[in-house]
Amino acid sequence: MKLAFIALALFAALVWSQDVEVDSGVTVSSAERAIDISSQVVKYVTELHVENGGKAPLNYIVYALSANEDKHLAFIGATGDNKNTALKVSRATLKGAKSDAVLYKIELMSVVAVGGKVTVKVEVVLAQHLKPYPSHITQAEQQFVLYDGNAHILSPYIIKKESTNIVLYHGHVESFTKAEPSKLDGDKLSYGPYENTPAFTTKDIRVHYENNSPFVVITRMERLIEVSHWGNVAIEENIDLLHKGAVLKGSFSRLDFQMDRRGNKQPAVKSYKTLLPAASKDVYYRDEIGNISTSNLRQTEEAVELEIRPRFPLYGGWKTNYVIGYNTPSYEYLYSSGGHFALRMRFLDHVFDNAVVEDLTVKIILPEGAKNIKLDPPYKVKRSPDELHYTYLDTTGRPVIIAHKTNLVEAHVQEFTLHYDFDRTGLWREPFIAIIAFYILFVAVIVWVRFDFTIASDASSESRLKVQSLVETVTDAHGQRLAEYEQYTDAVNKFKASKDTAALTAAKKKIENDLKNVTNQISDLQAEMKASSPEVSDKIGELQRLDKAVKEQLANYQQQAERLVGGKVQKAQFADAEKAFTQKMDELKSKMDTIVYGL
Amino acid sequence: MAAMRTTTVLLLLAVFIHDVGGQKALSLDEKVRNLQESLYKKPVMNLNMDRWKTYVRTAPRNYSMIVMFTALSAGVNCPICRPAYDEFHIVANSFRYAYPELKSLYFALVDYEEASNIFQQMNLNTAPVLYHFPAKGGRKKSDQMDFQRHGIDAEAIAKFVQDRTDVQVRVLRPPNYAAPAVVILLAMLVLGLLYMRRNNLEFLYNRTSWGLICLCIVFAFMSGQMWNHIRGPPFVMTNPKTRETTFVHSSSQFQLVSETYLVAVLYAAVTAGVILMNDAVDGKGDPSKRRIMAFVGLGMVVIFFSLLLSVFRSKYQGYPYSFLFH
Amino acid sequence: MAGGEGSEVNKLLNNTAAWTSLLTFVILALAWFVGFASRLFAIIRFESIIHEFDPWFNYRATHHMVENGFYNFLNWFDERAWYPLGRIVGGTVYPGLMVTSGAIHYVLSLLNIPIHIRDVCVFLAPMFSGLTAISTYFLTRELWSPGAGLFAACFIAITPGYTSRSVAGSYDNEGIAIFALQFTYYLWVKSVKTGSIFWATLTALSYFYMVSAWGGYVFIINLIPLHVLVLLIIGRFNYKIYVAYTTFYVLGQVMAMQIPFVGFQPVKTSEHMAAAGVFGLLHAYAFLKYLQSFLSRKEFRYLFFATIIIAVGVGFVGIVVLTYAGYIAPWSGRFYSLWDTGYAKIHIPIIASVSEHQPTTWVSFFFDLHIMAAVFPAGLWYCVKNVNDERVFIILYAVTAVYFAGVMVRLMLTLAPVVCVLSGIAFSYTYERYLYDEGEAKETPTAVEGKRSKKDEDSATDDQDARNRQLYDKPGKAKKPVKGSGGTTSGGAGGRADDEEGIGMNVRSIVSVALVLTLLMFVVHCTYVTSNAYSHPSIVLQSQTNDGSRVIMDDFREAYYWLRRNTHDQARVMSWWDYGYQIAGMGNRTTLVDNNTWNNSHIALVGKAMSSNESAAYEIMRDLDVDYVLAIFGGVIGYSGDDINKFLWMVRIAEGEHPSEIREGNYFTESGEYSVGPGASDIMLNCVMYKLCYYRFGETKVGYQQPAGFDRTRGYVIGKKDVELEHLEEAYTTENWLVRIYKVKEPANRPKIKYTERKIRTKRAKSSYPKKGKAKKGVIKMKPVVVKGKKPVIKR
Repeated sequence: MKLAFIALALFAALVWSQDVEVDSGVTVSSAERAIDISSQVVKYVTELHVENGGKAPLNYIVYALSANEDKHLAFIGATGDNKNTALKVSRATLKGAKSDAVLYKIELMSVVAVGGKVTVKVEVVLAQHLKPYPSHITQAEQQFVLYDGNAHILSPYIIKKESTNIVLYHGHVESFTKAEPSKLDGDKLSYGPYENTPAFTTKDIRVHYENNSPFVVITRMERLIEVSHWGNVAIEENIDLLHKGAVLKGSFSRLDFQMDRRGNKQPAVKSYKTLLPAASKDVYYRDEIGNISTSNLRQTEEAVELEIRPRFPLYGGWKTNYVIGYNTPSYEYLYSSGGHFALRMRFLDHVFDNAVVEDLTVKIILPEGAKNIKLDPPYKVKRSPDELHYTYLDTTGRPVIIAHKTNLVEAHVQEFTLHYDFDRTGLWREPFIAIIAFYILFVAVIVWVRFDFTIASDASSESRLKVQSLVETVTDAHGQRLAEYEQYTDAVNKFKASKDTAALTAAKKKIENDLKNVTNQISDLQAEMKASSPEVSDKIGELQRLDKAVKEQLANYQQQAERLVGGKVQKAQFADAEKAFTQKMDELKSKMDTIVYGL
Repeated sequence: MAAMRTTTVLLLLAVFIHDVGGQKALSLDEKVRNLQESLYKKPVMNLNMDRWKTYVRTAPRNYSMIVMFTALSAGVNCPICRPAYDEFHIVANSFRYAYPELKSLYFALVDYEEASNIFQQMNLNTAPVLYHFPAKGGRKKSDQMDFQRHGIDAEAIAKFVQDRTDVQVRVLRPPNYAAPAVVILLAMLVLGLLYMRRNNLEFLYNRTSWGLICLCIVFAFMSGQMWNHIRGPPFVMTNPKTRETTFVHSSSQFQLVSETYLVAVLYAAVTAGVILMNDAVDGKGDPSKRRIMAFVGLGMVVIFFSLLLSVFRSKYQGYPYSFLFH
Repeated sequence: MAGGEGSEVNKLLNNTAAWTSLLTFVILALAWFVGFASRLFAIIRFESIIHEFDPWFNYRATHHMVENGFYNFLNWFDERAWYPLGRIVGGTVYPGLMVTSGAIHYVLSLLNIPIHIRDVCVFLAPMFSGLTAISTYFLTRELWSPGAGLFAACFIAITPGYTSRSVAGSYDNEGIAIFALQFTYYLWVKSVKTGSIFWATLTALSYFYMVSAWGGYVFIINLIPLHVLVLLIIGRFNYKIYVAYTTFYVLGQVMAMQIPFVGFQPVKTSEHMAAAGVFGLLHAYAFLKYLQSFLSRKEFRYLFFATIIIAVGVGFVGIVVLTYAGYIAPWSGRFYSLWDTGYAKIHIPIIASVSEHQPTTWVSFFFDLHIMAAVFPAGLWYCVKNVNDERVFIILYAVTAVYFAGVMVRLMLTLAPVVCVLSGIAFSYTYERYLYDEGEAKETPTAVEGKRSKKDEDSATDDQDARNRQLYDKPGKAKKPVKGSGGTTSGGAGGRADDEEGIGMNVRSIVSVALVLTLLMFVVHCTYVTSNAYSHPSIVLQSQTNDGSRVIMDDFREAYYWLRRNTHDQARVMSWWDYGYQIAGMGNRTTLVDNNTWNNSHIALVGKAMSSNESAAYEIMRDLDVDYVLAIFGGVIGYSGDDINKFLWMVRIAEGEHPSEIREGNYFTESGEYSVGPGASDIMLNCVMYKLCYYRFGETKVGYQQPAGFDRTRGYVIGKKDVELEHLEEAYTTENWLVRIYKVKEPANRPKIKYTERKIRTKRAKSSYPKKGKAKKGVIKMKPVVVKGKKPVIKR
């Protein structure tokens, strides 16, 4: 929160800058400055012990940066005596200032009475301040950079005693500007201590040293946060990388790369770690042509550690881009009271250590129907007009909040808060829509099946259908009749065996009247069909005729049998009669079949 | 016109040249003329020893010769000599057709029967060999056509000729009337049959024959006979060291003729089994026999299919599944 | 009693109609689902990605269409391919695929469903496999019976022969074309049966879709006329066929001509002449039928044969004459090579070099069809045995398809559906006999469903079957009609008869179980094949480490993405044509040649550059403005499909166009075999391809025990270890050395062009001026030097 406050102040300051004056009585008794240029960003931590030797009580002090440094300024913040309350920092101009220094007004917590002391710690981060020199190197060479700075602490006050310690990258130092007393040991370079430096003293120094730390800059980053009230917040980051170190000249040899002794000290980025929120799950890491299979995930208790390896090592001047996305449970970020919700998330999240983001766009997609939305960012951001985003089953579209900021560093990893109102019943809208849709579908199917949509009723086809059904029944009846014949023969045969006339007559009577029924049925059908389709009915007539023939055959056969039983005929004689009968039956039947199937 | 000039030239020669020793020292123009004449007669000149000496060996030559050394007689066992010669002849023929009057290239043939001594002279012990004798300069290594690599067909030879002597010969094959003739014959046959049996076309409804024809076609192609036709694999393979013959090639990319036959038979057996099973149910007759039929059919399906599977496994390494056998 | 049974059957019919349709629906839905699921192996193992080569072009084209709209797609001139020629894409693709997925994407986005077009493309083929199953069901139902249809649907859903081209991510024409094929055939059979213009028109429409989707439409437009012709010959002509065919032919051809790529081919190429001939013949025949009513039998016969012979003769002669006159294009090489199987090998090395144009061994038949390969002849047998108009069609389909599949591996695709149909028929025919009563229930779900639905279907659609019988079957087949399309009455009666003197319950159950076992084996086989043989996206290589964990080698994408990010937008990449589509699709860079091999000489030029020595190649590269050269090299990881192994084809193709410079023989060792080992010829060791692959490879050690410069793919130490490059420099090499990219240096005498100036130069390149040479202002050669007071002297 404190940082947020500072930053707010800072950006307010950038817009309107108010005048300040410097009381000559006020002096800096002692000041230490620590400069860290071991990575791609430049970090100043300046500790000022201010003495109010003036007449008026002091309620702010002024901090100065050179114009060149100010060009690359990404972040500035200050803390007072107690370390965890940030002071308000704002841009200021000095009346009658004789240097081109850019001034910042740091408002103190408590007024410093005359003769009082105060200690202020100012923290400054400069991005892209280090210049690679030479600007093109081959694969085997080291990367050297130039740091341009000031041996003294630039200040509107007189500094009684000051000293500067510069932390370099662990490696060879080509050259550095001597400003006695100044000495270099290992990767530490120190200037001072100097006594009684007057205000706005500058002694330009230049350090030319080896710095193989990755100079990878995120040229464009789009952070998409999609809030779902079903308990999930989906985050997707779309990142463009560019290695802004010394540009690779000549060829890239995989062999040399694999053989390279320097390991991670070579000025190329093989991989780096991205810290995701602890509860984030189903992480994906891909680009335009699919998954990037070279990455692995480690779960630690305070964060999920994603080791990202780009498809190819990033040498100077090489670009790549990728998308990472993950889901986090919404209970960690979404606070609600009744219909009022507040979303608290990081405006910028960690990508890799000492990252520099040139241009950041944050898009927040709220659920459909979210109203009176209010964003309060941790620092001044640029809002674009809201948009609408449509996804599954959306009708009115989801509001999208869009915010931009340029030139960010790790110190900007801070949280924003987004307030909005949302009616919880709106949750059920989309399931409802789905249900309705299916319902309509089914109804439509039912209607379609049940009703007849033919424009004109097709008489011929209908009659044909009728005939079909009639023919069906005829065929059934005929099949039945065939079965009857079979039984008739069976009965006769049984009678041959058993010589039981009564049974025979009984069976005969039953079968005959069955047959009669069937025959009548068929003839009825025939009559019925005469009108619609005469040829079919003719066929059926034929059938009937055959049927008569069959009956005769049966009767005749039965007589034969009776005579046999009666002993009037010999076995042999009967046998060939029987044979004649069977074959006659068969051919009759086959005739019938032909007709029936011809129907 | 050209002919006239040559004749006049020859008259002059006749006048000036005195003791012309018969075949011995023929002048260039005579050689060319004789060659042309032989070219008019037939595209490929048969060389015996002294023609060989005269036209190929002796010095004054402004023409280059393409000579094929081969052994066409039945006595010599040379299976590819005949086809090679035919292709060569085609090339020569189309050359004659294209440039009858271009006097810089001639085709000739040396048969082992007629002039075996030429073979010794060229110390050749293989046939067929195709040499190019350039007009000037000696033969280089590349003047021998490599049949192993380029094959023996006319196109390759024509390409070789073009490489050596920049005469481009467009190969005109004598059109092959065999295929159309066969087709037409078949068509006539069918039509004739139709005409004969025009009053009852029942035989067209004889399903069984049609069915058998279809099945034969199917089995033929399913068993990869087309592959055999295109790639022409050997029937079986005999391992040169251990004299054992393999009927099934062990790679899935290659196949032997024998195994394709085997496979075709297996397919047919399975199909037959299926049909048998169904006939068992459809057929009339006493149940026990049909029960046996059904079992036989089933047995055929199962056994022959698992045989098929095991043959497949032997070719397709690492295939995990098998049915009855391994 | 029989009467009782009849009424029972009727009752059954009334009760089970609903059940039947439900079961059918469920089975088809399951078939769809299984077909879809079994094609997702690649997705699950790797990711949702487009597979090997051609799909990448299709995807790129689809993407272009979705971005710029349909008309811009039709007029798309792709200047990023075939540099410097460019390619007219709109006119040289079958747009059906792109339009289909584009339409799906459009509808989804209308419904606010945000799905990336890539995912639509990836999942298109599996979705369509379900549709294929359904249309196969309909086709088989028309041909035989609904039960057979269900079997066929289940078969086609999983048969490897079809899965091979339709796994998720293989976004290729065949994926949707097979559906179009089956559906067209279904509609055709339907229209032959009904003889209604309605169905014929639908057939033509579906044919139109097929034409827009795949070059294989030629198969349809030759098979259907063949069907009609055969029907004429065996005297089954009727006016239904006349209506169906004429409608189909006219509409189909007219619509086919609407596809830009097809254009006037339907009237100008020999592939379509058979259809035209049959069209004429049909009319002649119909006309004769009409005359028949006026003439006596005798004179009619003469007239008949006279006219037929004349018609055939005239038609044939006419076509031949037109062909020679040049109005009709003779058969294209690819098509011709189907008949004269030796043709491609001699004349079109590019076609011959593609592996999927090789003939088919019996192994791959069995591999793709398994049990069906052995059983479908039985189905064919029954179709022949009780033939009718539409079964004639399936018979012809089977015979022709099996021929084509024998000639070319990739045409296995057209064989698979008919095999499924026929073996579906065979199986349902068998089960019809062995399971006609709901006795046992110890089958797998499919079998049970198949069986039960079979029964229900039978009874339910009995009336329909009966109608078919009455309307279509010739009295000739009245001997055994019932067996063909199991009607209720006689089917039942037959069943009873069988039960009385039948072959017994246990036999039936044994047989059924055995068959179910074979079906199970089929399912297992299909799964195995699909997962092991057909689910590799060939972009991502996968290998097992010795501890069994799997390593993914992503080198292709690594290289392509490097190109995409870190080369200039207009950079021109030279590679062998196999990788053209991928470079364009993933690398988004200009390529010289790619997988649509329309310009042989251009490919030959690239082949020449690859196979000649560096300085000669440099000339070619300068002429073609090549900036980067890309080569695939598997020697480090033992990847066998690399450029060294393809190199002979490059040489051959180059030799075909430049026989004077390139000669295949020079690339062999003394003993005449192909090797890059110590014995290799100097020309081989100095050609660009060798240098590209083995530059600085001599210094590497693959394994500990192996010597330096040991090539894993070839399995020996390379011939020449100290490879110097003069005009090229290594620009990028992927992690496993699989892809090696080289930069073509500027000519030495020119000053090194700095990055900023390079920008300006490319601005010129972007503007449509030709980049090299032409833009220089002309100078007069031997300009006379005029000195004051003297006569101009021309120096010589």
